Amino acid sequence: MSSKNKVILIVDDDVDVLNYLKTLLENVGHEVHVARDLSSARATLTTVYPHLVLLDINIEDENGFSFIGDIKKIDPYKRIKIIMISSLTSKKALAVSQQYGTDGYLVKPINNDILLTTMKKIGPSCKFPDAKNLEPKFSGVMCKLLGTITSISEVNVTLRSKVKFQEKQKINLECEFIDKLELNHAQFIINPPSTDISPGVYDTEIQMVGLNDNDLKEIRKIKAIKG
Amino acid sequence: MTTNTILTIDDDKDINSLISVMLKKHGMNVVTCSDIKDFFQKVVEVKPNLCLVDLNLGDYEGFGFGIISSIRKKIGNDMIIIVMSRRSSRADINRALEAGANDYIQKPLDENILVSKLNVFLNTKSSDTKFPQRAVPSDTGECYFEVPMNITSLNENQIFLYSSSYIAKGSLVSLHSEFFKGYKFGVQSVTLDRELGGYILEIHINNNDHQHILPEIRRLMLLSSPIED
Repeated sequence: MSSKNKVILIVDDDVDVLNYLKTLLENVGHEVHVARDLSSARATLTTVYPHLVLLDINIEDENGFSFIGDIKKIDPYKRIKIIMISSLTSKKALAVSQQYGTDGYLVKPINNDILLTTMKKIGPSCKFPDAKNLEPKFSGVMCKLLGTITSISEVNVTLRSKVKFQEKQKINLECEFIDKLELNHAQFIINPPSTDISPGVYDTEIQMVGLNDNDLKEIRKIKAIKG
Repeated sequence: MTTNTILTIDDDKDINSLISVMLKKHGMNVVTCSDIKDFFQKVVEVKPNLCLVDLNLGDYEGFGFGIISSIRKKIGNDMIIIVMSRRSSRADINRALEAGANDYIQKPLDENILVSKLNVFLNTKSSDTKFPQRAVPSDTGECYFEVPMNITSLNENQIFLYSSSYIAKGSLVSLHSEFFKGYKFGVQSVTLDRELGGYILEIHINNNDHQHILPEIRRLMLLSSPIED
C-alpha cells in the first residue's frame, strides 16, 4: 500500500451513508472497512487497526462516543485519527468535537467536496510514527533460518549457513538427521567464531552436550570423511 | 600462556589418579579430592577453571545432583562443571544438566572425549585431540535453527532488527513471536551496529506477500511509546 492510502473504519448505522462514504474513499485509493453497530465496530477495530475512524456519534442512542474509549484501549498514545459524523449544526459539532478531543467533524448530509477536503487536510497526520520503543515482550523475535548439517563427530556437528556467529549460545536444531540418530535430547551450543567458506556462507561448529555412550556408538557407525 | 586448573572430586582414588595422569599429559594442572568438605575448601584455595564431579559420591546414590546445585549456589553460574557417571540414561543426563552441570561424560572415561570437552569449555583450541568428521547425507542434513533478535524500528514498509550474529544479505528468514507467526522475509541489507557490536538487518515488507501482517504491524506501532526528545 502506498503511504498515501490509509486504512479507514467507518462506523454508522445508516447503510446508505456507509456505502456512499465507502465508494468515495475507495475510489481515492483507501482501504475501507465498515461497521453498522458498535459491537462489530469493536471487532473490526482489533482486526484491522485503522489509521482513521469516521464515527457517527448518534449511533445506538447517542452512544457513539463510547467507541472513543475502545479506541483508546488499543491506542494509548492517540495516533488513530477520529472524525466525528453528526447531524448537529457546524457550530455545535465543532464544540462537541473539541470536547471529546476528536480530530475533526463532518456534518450530515455529507458533501463530497467537504469530505475530500477534510481527508486531504487530515491525510498527512494519519501516519503512525515508526515504532522505535517497543517493550521487550513485543520487540523480541526469533528469526528462523535454514542451514545444513554437513558433518558430525563425537563431540560436535558442523552447520553450514548464512549466519556468522560471534557469541557462544545455546541453539535449537530441527534436523531430520539429528532426529534419526535420536540426538535431539542433546543440548547444542555454538562454538564461535564461524569460519568463512565463501561470501555469505559460513561453517559453525556446534558442540553437543549430554551424549551418552550409546549416542557415541551410533555416531561412530557413520563413515568418516577422509583427508 | 596460562595453565588451566581442573579440580576433580571422586571417591575412587584410582579415578582421581587416572584423570590426573590423563590431563597432565595435555598441559593441564589437576587437583583432586574425594570428599565434599575438601572439595569446597579447594574451590576457594585453588580457584579452578573447571570442576569434574562424580555423580555417585560415597553412600549417597544420586547425591551428585545435590552437589551440582550446592556448587552453583556457593560459587555461581560461571564455574564450568562437568559431571562423570556410569549412569547413562537420558533422564539422568538431563537431571544433571538441569541441576546446572555444563556437560556430562560417561565412565569409564575416554581420554580423547574428556580432553576434547575440556578444550571446548576452556576455549583452548588444541589439535592433539581431533575427532574424525563424518559426512551427513544431504537429503537429511537440512537444518532449521533460530537466532534471537530485537526489533529496533518498525513501520508499514520496513522492519529493522538487531542481531548479535551476522546474517548475510539475501538470506530468507521467518520471524516468530506472539505477533509474527512465521512470516517469511528476505534480508535486504545488513549494517554493522558500532555501538552494540552486532548488526542491524533491514527487512522490507512487500504488499503482495505481506498484506495480511500489516494490521499486526499497525497494532505494534500503536503500542510503541513515544521517544523522549
